[in-house]
Amino acid sequence: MDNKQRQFEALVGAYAADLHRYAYWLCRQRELAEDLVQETFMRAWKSLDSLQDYTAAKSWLITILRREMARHFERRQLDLTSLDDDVIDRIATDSSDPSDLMLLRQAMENLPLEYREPLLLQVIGGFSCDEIATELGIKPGAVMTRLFRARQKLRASFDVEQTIDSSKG
Amino acid sequence: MECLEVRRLLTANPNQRDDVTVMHLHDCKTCAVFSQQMRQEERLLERALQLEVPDGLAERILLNQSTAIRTRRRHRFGLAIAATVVLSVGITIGLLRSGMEDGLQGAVIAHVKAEPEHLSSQQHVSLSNLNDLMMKYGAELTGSVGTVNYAGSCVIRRSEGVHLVIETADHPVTVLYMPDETLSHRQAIVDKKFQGVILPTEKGSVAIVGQDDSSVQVIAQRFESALHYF
Repeated sequence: MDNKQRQFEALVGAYAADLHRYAYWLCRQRELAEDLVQETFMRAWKSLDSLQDYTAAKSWLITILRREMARHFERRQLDLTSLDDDVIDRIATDSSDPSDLMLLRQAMENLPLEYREPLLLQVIGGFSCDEIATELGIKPGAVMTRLFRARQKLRASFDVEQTIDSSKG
Repeated sequence: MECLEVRRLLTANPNQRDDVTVMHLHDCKTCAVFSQQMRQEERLLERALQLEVPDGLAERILLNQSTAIRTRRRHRFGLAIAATVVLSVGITIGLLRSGMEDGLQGAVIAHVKAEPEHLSSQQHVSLSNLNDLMMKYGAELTGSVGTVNYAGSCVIRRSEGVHLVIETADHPVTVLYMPDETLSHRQAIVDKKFQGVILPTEKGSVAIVGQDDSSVQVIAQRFESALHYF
């Protein structure tokens, strides 16, 4: 196996899962998320020689993925779909704090894209505020504001759902 | 730093740990408790986002990649056989071919002069849109080649290609990607108004035409490093 192939397999092993999660939380369609991740890695393979710094590999892959997603949704609205049913089933079987996690995921689903995307870049991508600003083409101050509001909205939505949930019980 | 500002920072990033924030949390118990709550919420959020990934995802990605490589190798093998045949025939028609290559320079200049309106176009084509066009001809650009103010399909000597106009400091430079025009060697283009170069590439050739040599050379270098094929 040559060096390039080893590097590629290492990238797939290290980042395929996070890329799929990132894609899923943006497009919220399981099959589409996998297609986008497949396409992202095919492009990454073709351009692997241009990746000089392997510590930047994750952000490089997420940049390719965002480009793929933009291509796909060029003529469509990104925010029209809801969670796939099979993913809801999988969510429900998560082992830790199932009711809290479920409520938080619903809150995440309802979070507008302008807040959801910087939050995903921070939590799943591990990007700093400045890196998110570069990726989204906005100022670091605007990123801070969006992250602040994203968590406020999540918390507010989560609290409302919890209240409704407890009143049902 | 005031409590309000610290809490704003911690809400935006619960893992915020710069010196000023750490000092404040050390001195302010209320904010320290707030920080702990934020970190607990962050851990819950991290778990909420950790959806189960489809079984065999990594294996399918590697399978897809290895299939693509095999297809490309098969394609290259086919090309190698075809090249052997072409070589034997090519010796016979070599002289005729060199005449056709000379004709390409004239066709390129004529095409640039026939469509002067593109030189003043201001479309600001994104790399993504540009690649949507390039992909139709089996190629893509893996990096920026500059500000592209026009991108469209065109026909040169009865073969389709891509017509681009790229902004430079002095004059716009035209790039014609011609996937069906193969060249044996680099050719210079000299005209009263324009100058340029035609580069042989893996698939076909690329003509770069401008009004000064330095702009042409800059764009030629960018294309040579950014142009890739499927």
